[in-house]
Amino acid sequence: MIAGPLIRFIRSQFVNSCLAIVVIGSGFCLAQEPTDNGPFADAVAAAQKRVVKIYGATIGRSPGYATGIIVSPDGQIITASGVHLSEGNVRVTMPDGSLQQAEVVRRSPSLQTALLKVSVPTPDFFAIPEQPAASKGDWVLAVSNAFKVAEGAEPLSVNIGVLSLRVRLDARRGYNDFPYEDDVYLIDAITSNPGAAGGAVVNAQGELVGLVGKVIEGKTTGTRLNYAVPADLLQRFIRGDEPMTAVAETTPRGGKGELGIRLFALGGRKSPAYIDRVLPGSPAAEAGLKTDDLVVSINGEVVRDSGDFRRLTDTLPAGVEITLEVKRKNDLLSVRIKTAAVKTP
Amino acid sequence: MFSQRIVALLVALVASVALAQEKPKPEQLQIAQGTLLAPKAFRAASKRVLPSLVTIEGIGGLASGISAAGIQAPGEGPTSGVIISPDGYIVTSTFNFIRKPPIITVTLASGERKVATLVGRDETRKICLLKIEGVSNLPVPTWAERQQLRVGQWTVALGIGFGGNEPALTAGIISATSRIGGKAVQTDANLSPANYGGPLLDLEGRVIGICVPLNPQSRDEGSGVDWYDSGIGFAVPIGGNEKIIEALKAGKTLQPAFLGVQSEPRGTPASGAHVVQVVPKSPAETAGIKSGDQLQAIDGHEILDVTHLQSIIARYNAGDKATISIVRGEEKLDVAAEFGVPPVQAKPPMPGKR
Amino acid sequence: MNISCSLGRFRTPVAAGLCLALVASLAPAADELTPGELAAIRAAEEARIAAIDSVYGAVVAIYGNDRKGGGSGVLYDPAGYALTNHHVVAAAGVDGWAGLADGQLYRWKIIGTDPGGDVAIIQLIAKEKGKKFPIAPLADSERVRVGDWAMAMGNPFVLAEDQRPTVTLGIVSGVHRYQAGSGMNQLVYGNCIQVDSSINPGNSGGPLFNLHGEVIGINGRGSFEERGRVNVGLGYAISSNQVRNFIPELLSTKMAQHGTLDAQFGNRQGGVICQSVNLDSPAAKAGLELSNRLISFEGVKIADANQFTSLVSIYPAGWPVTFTVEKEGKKQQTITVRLTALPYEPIVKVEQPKPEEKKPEEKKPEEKPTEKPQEKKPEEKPAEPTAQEDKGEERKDEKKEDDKPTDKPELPKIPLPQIKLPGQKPNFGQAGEIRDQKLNESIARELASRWQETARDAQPQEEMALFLYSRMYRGEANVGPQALTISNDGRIAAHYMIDGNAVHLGFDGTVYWLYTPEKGGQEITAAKAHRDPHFAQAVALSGMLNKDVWQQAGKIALDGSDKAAGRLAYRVSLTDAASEQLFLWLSVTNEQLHPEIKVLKSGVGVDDDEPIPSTIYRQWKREAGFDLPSERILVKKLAEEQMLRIELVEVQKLVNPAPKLFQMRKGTEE
Repeated sequence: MIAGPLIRFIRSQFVNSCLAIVVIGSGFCLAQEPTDNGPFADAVAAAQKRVVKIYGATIGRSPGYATGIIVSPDGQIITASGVHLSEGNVRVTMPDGSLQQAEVVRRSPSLQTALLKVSVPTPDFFAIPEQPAASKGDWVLAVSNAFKVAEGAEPLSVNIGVLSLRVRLDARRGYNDFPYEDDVYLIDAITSNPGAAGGAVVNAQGELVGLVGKVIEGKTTGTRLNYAVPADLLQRFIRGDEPMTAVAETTPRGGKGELGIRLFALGGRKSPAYIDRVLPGSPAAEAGLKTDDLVVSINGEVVRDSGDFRRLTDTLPAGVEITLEVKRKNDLLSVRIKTAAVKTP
Repeated sequence: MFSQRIVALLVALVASVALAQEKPKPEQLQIAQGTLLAPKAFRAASKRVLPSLVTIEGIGGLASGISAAGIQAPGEGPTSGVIISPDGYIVTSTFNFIRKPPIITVTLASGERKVATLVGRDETRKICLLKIEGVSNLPVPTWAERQQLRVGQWTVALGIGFGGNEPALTAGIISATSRIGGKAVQTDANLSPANYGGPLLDLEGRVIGICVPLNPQSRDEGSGVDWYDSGIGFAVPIGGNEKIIEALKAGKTLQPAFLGVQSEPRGTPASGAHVVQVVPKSPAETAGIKSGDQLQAIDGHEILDVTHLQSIIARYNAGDKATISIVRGEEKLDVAAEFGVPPVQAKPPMPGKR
Repeated sequence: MNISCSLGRFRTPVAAGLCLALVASLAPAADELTPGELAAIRAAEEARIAAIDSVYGAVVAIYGNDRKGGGSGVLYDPAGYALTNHHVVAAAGVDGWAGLADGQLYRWKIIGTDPGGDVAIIQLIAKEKGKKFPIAPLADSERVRVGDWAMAMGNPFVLAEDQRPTVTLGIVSGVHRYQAGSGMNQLVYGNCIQVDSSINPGNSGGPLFNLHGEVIGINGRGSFEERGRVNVGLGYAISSNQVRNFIPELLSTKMAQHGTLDAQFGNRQGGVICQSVNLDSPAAKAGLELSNRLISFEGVKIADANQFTSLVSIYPAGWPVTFTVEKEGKKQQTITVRLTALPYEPIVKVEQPKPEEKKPEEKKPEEKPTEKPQEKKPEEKPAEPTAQEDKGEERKDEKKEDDKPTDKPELPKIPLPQIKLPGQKPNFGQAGEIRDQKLNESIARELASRWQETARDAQPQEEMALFLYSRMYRGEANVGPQALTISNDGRIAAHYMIDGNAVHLGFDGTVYWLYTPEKGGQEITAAKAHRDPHFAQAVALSGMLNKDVWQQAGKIALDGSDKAAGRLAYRVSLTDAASEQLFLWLSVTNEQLHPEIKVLKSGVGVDDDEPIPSTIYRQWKREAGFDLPSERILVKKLAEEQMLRIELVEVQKLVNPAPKLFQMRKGTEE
């Protein structure tokens, strides 16, 4: 009576069952290795073989180094985008300690990630899991080179936490809104440290959960956020389902205009609008603006401080021409700049 | 459908038998497994308290941009609170009202949003009591027994304020069971403004305490916030502490205790607390403490030195009574003291009060 | 019936279903917590709580005399010896208050300190005589893996008003990490353990321990970023193995020094190459040359110059190291030398008497650090951490970002606890020198008594002696017998014959004598007697019979750390009036790293060119109520090359031994 369905069920599940036996069996084999002081050592060792150290340009307050994860057997590496990738000389230290040149293939402004490629084979890489590898409360391990503690072939640092929340990000970086547009994983391991961006967040089995994010502050809490770009979003990025950013003409959602000017932010909103840096290739750069220029007016309106500057430029759409007056040493210069579409800084 | 259900039942039976037979595992393996499975318990604990978790929002108040002691640009988002009685008393942290918003709202787990009045506050524990009207039978969490807390046990904190529909979950352990004048439990679970006013749970989902920013050096509302996410966090246990709840319900503001002695250690090496000066008109003077007395104990709690004396006094609130044992010359005597309020400037008006 | 037949036929699928059910129960989709799972979770929690409980009582809250700021420490010895950081005692002074989890305050005093590696030993003074303190055991830090749980205990931000420590949980983030020190060779965290257990100011000096309640490190540093003096997930602990290497140095009351080969290595094509070497150094004199390729150091294959720098940093000055280099023409040479002392400036600066002199120091934080952190730029660091100095440190943090990526970052350290300096500069002694002779002597005696207590069933009540008869071998060849008679009042007789040559020595309570058939009998000095390894063995072993026996050989002192029989040892010296020394090396732990004191080695020289062999003692067995070595090996040179093997054949206990046994032989008695 009930035996029939049971047997049919079991027979239908026979293949799964065999798999189960193998899984259980191998589980027990692994279990023979006494993990005396914690169950994470093996997952960590496996993950470290798939994470790289990235070195680039030091510009402004960006540290010039970061972490990256290997995502394909042919040398594709995902990392966080940043100014350190902007000058073309990106070096990657592979898990075996060898130093490789990397080319920047493309970036994603909405995920704040970049795809690099090295020209050596990378048989040990992270496969992006089909299903999310962790849910709220699950253990996550962040593997990264925070503070560049690890050099050469030295293994990267590992921090532990739990997955706190998957939520749409609302954050800022310094005084500007952070351009990330999508969900993130918030985790309670501290990853908001220089050099950690681009690291791997894995679960207790070593499977990829996400990519360590950049140093940002939550707008709702005013505190540093420890976040990771979820692996399923990385999947889209790898496949190229992302708007390209190498070209300035792309108009992102909202059509915000960008001048390419970063102000000297120390001292609060009431500090004078000194230019700290001009982004290479930006309209401001092309117009000849330089670091230490003091923005005096925009379209005739007086700019008393960085607060005014933001107010007058935050809502500029792309493709408009504005007149900027700056003071350089003792001269007053007037330039006309056409705003470009918002690019990854 | 029927057969599938029977099959599931049988499979479950077989599974439990299988698990039972699994008991003779080497202890190490069970410990490793127990660690890997802990997240399931974290989620289960969180689920149990979710119905009592509320979202607190303050509307209006002082302009943002005011530095809240350690955070340059304080957050603008909602924060957490916990229902403590079925008729609508809610506990949250005074930190959430630093900007003194005139309007406070509470959003229940059901989604219902209500305006709340601030009833009473405890400056020493940085908690305050809100009341919402027109509710009944609200779910109340279970409180953990303070006496049974152990250093090293799991803690789970929930925090509203990062956005989304669910609170964020952080996990850690109990780092110490008695801190900040014995008023707080210390945990290394990451706590940040999203958690203040929200619960710290044990593995069973019982509330150990309400998360608040604390710092033994300062009583400002914002002090302690600079320790966010640092592995140093505090939660004040109030479950079963009827004295405090009643005082807050009565609209009181609980203040730190003040005795009014200046003392110093004596001897070689210097130890103990010997009264150098009694502040005029202070509770110490009223109790009859005199210069030259050695303070031995408060309510039987031995005083080791001046630093220790300060931490013992910190256990009390203004208005509390205590017996102070002193040594005067050759005599040993006990005096009755009532702690007063520390001599500070007038407090600004409380937010949310009509 | 139907069912049972069906089940019987399909036993395999049923078992498979069982496995499937198990898998299903573990799958994340089924998030219901089963009783079995909850039990496992609780068991893991209990294991952690048990580990914490076992260490809890041993954690020390360390304060200066004014009880203001503080650091942490951990008791490792029941006599009250506790480990902490050098920078904690440097701020607190030579003594102060210590709090334990029992809520009580105890006095502590400094024993010895190691500014180079940031370790110190203090001693807590018990309130009742003879009271034993709770302790935490030191583990083997080499077994620590990245990902292991690690717990820190201490007193961050001086929160422990009741002296009960703060406990934080994290994992090991990295091992064999190198964190550059400050100033000249000070506070170097070479080969340290990196953790993400929350470590904050005040945790310094406290224990890092594992799920078994074993100490794997001493916490002392953290990385900070723009947030300020608060943990951001990177903490560093000095490995327990390094700490252990320094215990004898610190117990000898020294301000210990670290060791150096006096040679620099760098990564080049072809390997780790010697780039510079001090020609006066022992390594150069033993054959190390420029361009030699370093292959292995202390048994570890060297793949990177930083790896070597890390490894060297865990040894004290004088430690014998063995390394292999490849020279011109692919020839390999193995060299064993003692490390020389790494110099440093004391980090504790005297408070400037003239206010003008302070100004140059205050200006320093504004200077841009132009040199690379690896160059030993003396960074003046005033000991009193005023708020002004903190600003200077934070400014340095910002400038750190100007470093090139290939340099090791100079990471900011946990600032010194906010403690007012005592009126005078804490006197920790001169670098490398024993500060307090009296204390040193009493500690040496203490070590000797500890060996005695464990080495015998009971203290001999009457006059007695042990007669030890052994056979000596060179390789497999039997070269002759040896007989030692040792009494509990210090009288000794040693007889042996090697390749037919007989030698007899003794001490009859008054005179030392030597007798050979060729030269007959003569009185000799004690020093000359000790220069005979067989006689020295008798002296060494007689120490277990009576605690004063060794004093006859000379004034006892603890020299410090040394290696003997390949292991860490206390080197104890007995120095007679003529400054001749007999050395005894006592083990610090057994093979399982549990504290155990046994005589490892005896000898009269510590240099590689000492001609007189030393004796290594092994295979201890209890016979006639005493631990005795069934095997002794005569060795020469630092590399302990084996010369002779002595196997114990028979032991006899003699009660009221005849005085004649110890008197000078006359004539041809057998």
